[in-house]
This record gives sequence, C-alpha cells and structure tokens, in this order.
Amino acid sequence: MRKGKRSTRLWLCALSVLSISAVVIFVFTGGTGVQQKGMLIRPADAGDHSKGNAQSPVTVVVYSDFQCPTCADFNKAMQRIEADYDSRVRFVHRHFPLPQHQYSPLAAFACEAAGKQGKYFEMRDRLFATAGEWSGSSKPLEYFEKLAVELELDVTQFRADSASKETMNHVVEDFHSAVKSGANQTPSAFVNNRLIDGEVTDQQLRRTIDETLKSR
Amino acid sequence: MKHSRVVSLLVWLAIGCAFVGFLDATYLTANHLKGTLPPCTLSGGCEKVLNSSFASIGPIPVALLGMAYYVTTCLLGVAYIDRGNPKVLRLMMYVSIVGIVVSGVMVYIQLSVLRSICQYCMVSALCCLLYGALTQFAHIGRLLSSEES
Repeated sequence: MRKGKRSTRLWLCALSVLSISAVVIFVFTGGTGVQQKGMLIRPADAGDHSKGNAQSPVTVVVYSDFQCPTCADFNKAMQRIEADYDSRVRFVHRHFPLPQHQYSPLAAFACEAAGKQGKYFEMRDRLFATAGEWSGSSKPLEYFEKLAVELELDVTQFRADSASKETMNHVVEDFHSAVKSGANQTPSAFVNNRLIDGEVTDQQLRRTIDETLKSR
Repeated sequence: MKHSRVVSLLVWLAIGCAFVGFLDATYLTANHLKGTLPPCTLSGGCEKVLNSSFASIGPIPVALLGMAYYVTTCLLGVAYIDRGNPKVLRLMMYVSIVGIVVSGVMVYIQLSVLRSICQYCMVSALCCLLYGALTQFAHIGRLLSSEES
C-alpha cells in the first residue's frame, strides 16, 4: 500500500516537473531571443535564381521591384558587386513587387519566364535598364516579348511561362517571404539571412559582405 | 555502497541528463514556434543551423522530436526507479542508442554540411551521450548486482 502511494507520488512528481517546466519555458521564451524580424525566414534554396559561387558560405539575397527607380540604380551597383565577388559569394535575386507599381508583377513574371530558359539575370538587368520605357508603355507585355527576342528566347514558351500559375506562385512566395522577413522597402538585402538595416547602398553591401567573409 | 544503490544513483543521473535535454529541446521548440532566435553567445552558428532545412522534418521541428525523445527517456528512468525492472533498464539502453545515433548525425550535419555550430544542439547531443553512458553503466551495475545476490 505504502509502495503504491510512493509510486503514484513519484509519477505525479515527474509528470508535474516536466509539464510545469515546459509551460514556464513556453511562456517566457521570446523575450530573451532575437526576434526573427530582420531575419530571412526562407533561406536561399534550389528554387531560387542564383549566380556566383554556389558553395560560398556567404549568401546575399536581394529583394527588388522592377518599377522602383532606386532598385534600378541599385541593380547597376549589384552588377558590379556580382562581378567583383563572383568567386566568393552566392547571389540570389527575389521579387518584391510593390502594390503601387502596376506593371511590376508582370515584369517579375517575365523575368521568371526568362529564368526558365536560363536567362534570368540577363532579363533582370534588361528589365531594370529599360524600366523607364516599359513602365510608361500601355502594352508592357509586348515590350517584354521584345526583350525576350533580344535575348534569343523561345518567345512562345516565354509567353506561356510568363502566364503560368507556377511563375505567379513563385513571385507571390517571394513577396510573402520578404514581408514576413521584415523587409519594408525596395531594394532590401539580406546577407547570410540577416537584413541590412535602412537603405542598402553599394558601399554598405560591400562592407557587410567583407565582414561576413572575414568571419567565416 | 551496494551495487543496486549505485544503479539507482546512475539512473537518477541519467534522468537528470534527460531532463536537461528536455529543457534544452523545449527552449528550442518554443523559439521555433514563436519565430524567435535564441541568443547564440558561444558558438555564433545557431542562426544558420536553426534556420536550415535540417531544423525541421516537413512541418515538424526537429526540436519537438527531441522534446518527445527526452520525455520518453525521463519517464523510462522514472519507470525503472519505480519498478526496478531490468527490462526497463535494457529498454533505456536501446532508446539511448537511437538518441546517440541521431545526435551523431545532427553533429555531423552541423560540422560538415552547415559548417556552423549551434550550442543548444551540442548541449542536446551531450545529454544524449551522457544518458547513453549512464544507462550503460547502470546496466552493467545491475548485472553485477544480480550476480552479487
């Protein structure tokens, strides 16, 4: 009888200690941790368009909007950075089409479609370089097809891919991952999943990359 | 000290290790579910490890599986203390082998694939290892104690 009581007490005690400690940890965790806001919730993966050194311990993920003038300027800097760090860093580009830019999602679809034919970054650079032209056009899709011809893409395939659900989902996923990761402006850049605060500049991104490379 | 008392002491120590592992895994699970990152003061690699594709199996965080593992190991220890059944001790040993193997794989992934160390994951691996060693010693102690009697 006494042994039965001791046994019950032992089990009650063990279960109570486990449950209470779990509840306490769940209630108090979060205050001491770093909020993931500002942390990339979806690290770069095989579904992303990337260039540079795929094995590099440093990954730069840039979110941009094709109709954003700052993004177009920043893309010129990005092209130089990508060339300078080509062998040392992995670069990923993602879409963050802002709601106020009506043609930006279409440009993102066009870029994705070009990516399906292996010309993602070529299309990205052309879309930024010609944003002033297609943004003011009433028929941006025709303009994108013209760019596709210039890049020697299969235009029929390009048209189909631009309108595919898969392409749209990819862009929507990019957009959501930007918002959830705390990006609130374009362009936004993450170096090893950490958001660069404030406006991203050529110098600032280079400095962050250099520091991250040094720490590896 | 009698062998049976040594065995009990070792099992209590194993329960202690499992409990530390449980606290560690619960903390990581809570952080995962709340979308926060625990402070990483010692190793600096928690961010990469805890955000990697290895941190979850589908929608289930690996830390949650760790929690379940440590609850099981704790309760097995309590079951042994309660009943003194050698079969429970043997089961503890088998379960601890599973834990050590899984922890070994996780440590390998951290060192070789991710090339980053998460201090919380290393604490968990250490708990698994100690739990395994203590249950192994307890098992040996149990065998000696049965020979003694």
